[in-house]
Amino acid sequence: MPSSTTAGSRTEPATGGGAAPVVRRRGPTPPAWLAALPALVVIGLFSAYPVVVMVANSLGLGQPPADGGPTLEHYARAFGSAAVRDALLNSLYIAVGSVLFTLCVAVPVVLRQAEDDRAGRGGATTDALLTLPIALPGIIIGFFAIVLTGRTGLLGLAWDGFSGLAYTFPGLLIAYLYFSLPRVLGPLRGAAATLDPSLPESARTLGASRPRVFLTVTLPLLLPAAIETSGTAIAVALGGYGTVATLSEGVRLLPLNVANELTTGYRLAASSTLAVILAATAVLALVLGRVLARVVRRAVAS
Amino acid sequence: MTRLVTRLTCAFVAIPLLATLIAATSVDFSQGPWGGGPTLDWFAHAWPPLAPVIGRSLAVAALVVALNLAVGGPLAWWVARHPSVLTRLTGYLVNVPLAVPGIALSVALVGTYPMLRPSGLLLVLGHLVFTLPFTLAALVPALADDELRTNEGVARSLGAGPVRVLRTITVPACLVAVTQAVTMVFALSFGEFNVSFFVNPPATPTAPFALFDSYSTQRLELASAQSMIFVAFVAPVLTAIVLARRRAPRRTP
Repeated sequence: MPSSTTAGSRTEPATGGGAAPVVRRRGPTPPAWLAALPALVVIGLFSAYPVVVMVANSLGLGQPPADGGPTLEHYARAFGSAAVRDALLNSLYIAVGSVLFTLCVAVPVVLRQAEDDRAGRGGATTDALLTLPIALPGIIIGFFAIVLTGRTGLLGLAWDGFSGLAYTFPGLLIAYLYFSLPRVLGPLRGAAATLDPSLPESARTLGASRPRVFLTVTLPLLLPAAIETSGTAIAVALGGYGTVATLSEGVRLLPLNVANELTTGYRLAASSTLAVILAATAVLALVLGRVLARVVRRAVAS
Repeated sequence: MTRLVTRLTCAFVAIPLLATLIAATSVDFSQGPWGGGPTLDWFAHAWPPLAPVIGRSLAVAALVVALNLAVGGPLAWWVARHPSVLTRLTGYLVNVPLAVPGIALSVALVGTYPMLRPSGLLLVLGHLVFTLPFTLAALVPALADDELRTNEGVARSLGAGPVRVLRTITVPACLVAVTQAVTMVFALSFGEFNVSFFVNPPATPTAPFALFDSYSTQRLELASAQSMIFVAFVAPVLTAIVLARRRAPRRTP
């Protein structure tokens, strides 16, 4: 792909803000895109091409002995299966639900952090603690759910209702809330930091109550970033496999079906089909988040 | 109000960690916290088999970080310094693993290159494409900085060679961004489970797979001890991430 380019191959050195011309001359400078070539080759071979192969496999265009030619049969079978439809719906409920809950928690937290940052108050411990889940694989978060609300979980001692909650829909929702928390807090914090504090302050001095300032000034300003972040977080939560893999005896989510098709008998075409459906759903969430955020940003600006 | 929510959120994140620590130090957790008395035996049992696995994961993560800098560094430079339609397209291409769920990418990789799986090569390359977007996100804004480019131009006009400019101007100016990229990539690779699921060599699993295996086959106490050991390895990296972010200049988009 990069070989077809000439646009990046200008030979003059990069000139930053009025830099003096280069004095030395040591033969022709290699074209700039050459620096990007190794990375582009790796990405092409091990990211873009496999995804294309996966889509081909799902359409019956894989290796001839296994696949007989172009067909939509795999998709028909996937959408015809009640188990797959349920898993897809559950995945959507869990991903959207957990991110919406996360958002309700994240908005007050980032506003507090922005205020603390401006006041120069510390908060490194809070910061580290709230970032921690991003470095934990999903399986550990699933295991946390077992320790607290599994059949011999710690919280089960306090109240029987907590025993086995990990394997139910609400339990899974809470586990994915833990998973989504740092993924929403991170980007939203950046947006909260750029809010102009003088706007809510002047609204306050003009006599607006705190809830009213929040609803009419702060929230609209934060909304585009919140929507875009939610779209990304929903996409990530949809693909979150580790958490549900640890809690797999409970609610079924689509990533489990993707993996099952390969682990129980190597059905590559069926697995690829479900993987494409999962990926398409995630991309849809991502794009929807971007588009809605742009629409709302324009509406707020006008 | 916002302070209360922040405190509660911190508690929500911390409580499972504390509970797991309690489980890991209880003789019999099913009898309640520290049921049968406190013990460190589970840690003693967990460490010897886990040590080589952690070592392997650290090696994979270090290799992925090195490859990220070697391959992603020049790519970030090209994207930052020669913006064009091509670099925008490249941006989309790099971000494919962010949009395609890890387990789907794993299916795609093993369906395309099954022969690269046993050696572990597919695992490293899978981690590389999965982490490259994070390297680019950290490095491109730093490399595109106007002040940095002016400084480089001045150094070059004074006669400094390209290597010297890189060593004395570019790298020091991007140090916070590089730290951010390195720590993030390290943490992501060390705990990676989804992309790895079908591409990790079955005979030599990485740390998350050892944990996953324990979750379904071992006692809760032993699995808790293993989990806490894993968290102990992630914690310093996480601290580095937070420190790097706190030192990073705030950029408004």
